[in-house]
Amino acid sequence: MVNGMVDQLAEVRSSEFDQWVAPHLDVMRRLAAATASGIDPDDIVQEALIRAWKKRSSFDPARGSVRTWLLALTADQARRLRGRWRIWELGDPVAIATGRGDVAADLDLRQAITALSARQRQAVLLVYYVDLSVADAARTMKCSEGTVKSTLSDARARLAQLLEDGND
Amino acid sequence: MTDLDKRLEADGRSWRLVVGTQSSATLTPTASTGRTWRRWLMPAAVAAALAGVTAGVFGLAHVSRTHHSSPAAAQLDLNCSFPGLAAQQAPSGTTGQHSSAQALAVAGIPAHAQPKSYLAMVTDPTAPKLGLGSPDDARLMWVFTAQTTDGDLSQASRPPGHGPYMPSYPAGTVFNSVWLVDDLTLTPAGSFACLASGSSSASTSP
Repeated sequence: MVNGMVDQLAEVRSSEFDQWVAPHLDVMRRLAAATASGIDPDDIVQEALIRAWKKRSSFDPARGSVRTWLLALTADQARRLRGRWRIWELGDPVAIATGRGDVAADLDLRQAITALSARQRQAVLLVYYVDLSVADAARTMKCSEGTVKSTLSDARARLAQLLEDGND
Repeated sequence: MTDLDKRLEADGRSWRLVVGTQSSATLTPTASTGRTWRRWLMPAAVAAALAGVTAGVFGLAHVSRTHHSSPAAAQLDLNCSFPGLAAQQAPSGTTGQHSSAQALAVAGIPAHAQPKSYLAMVTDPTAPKLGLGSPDDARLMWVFTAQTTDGDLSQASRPPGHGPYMPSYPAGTVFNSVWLVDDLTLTPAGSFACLASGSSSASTSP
């Protein structure tokens, strides 16, 4: 149904719009949460959705999926509110511990993530935390899939080094 | 897959779980100026998306009520519906903890709007965000209704950077607007607006 609606996006009526965006709300919210720590992710998603509503006639399915378009709008809104990608944060795992695993180890991991370069941190958060595919992450980061993969590889190597140093 | 991969994926799942539970049900009010978060949501479809509501759209009939009336079935004086927003008649003899004037003083309504008011049991989708409990629980609220124009809406005070974006509508566009104030706490509990019947060509549909 969504695919069928895409071709006539400019003619999507308000009653259909929620159906159109609903499958992507979770990932939009996760992206907002990872992108702009300290800002209510619901506010970011809201801004992105209204932007999507206003710009729906300009959506071009030839340039990407609805999902990536919505993610781009979400990222743009988060960036507009916080200014830079470098503020990507996950929060303190101690505060948000869910009873799973080793909180101290999670804290080490997240501290290590904060020590990554902005681009590496962005790639790690998009793929491992926001749970985007490499393809979606590439579109969100406005780079190639190969660049995402190499950035992730560099990030993992750097994380391994940081975690090892922390254990010494 | 390396151990680091597994740790990242596990921590990612944990993080998503937490982010997922931080839905509007647990978010605290975002206002930093003493004013509470308020929302001007149009079109209704956007409200549906934002509320994360996939079912249970409550119809709100267009029924005018006057101050302190005792409606048989008080309903919000809008011309469209918002998912999760509904009003029921306040129990007979209910007077509330605060007066209409006290509620009006905090409602943030444009001075010239001359709203009607009444008490009603309201379920409010923004309640969790305002610290007013579950969106499914009805609370006694003062309801103010008035017709406003786009000028009124743009003048409506809301904390910069908070709350929703108000789409642009042609000058003179008329809206049916509702402001809610929680009677117990005197907390502004959201404001909602719909295009009035027969208003300008501005429409929620393409």
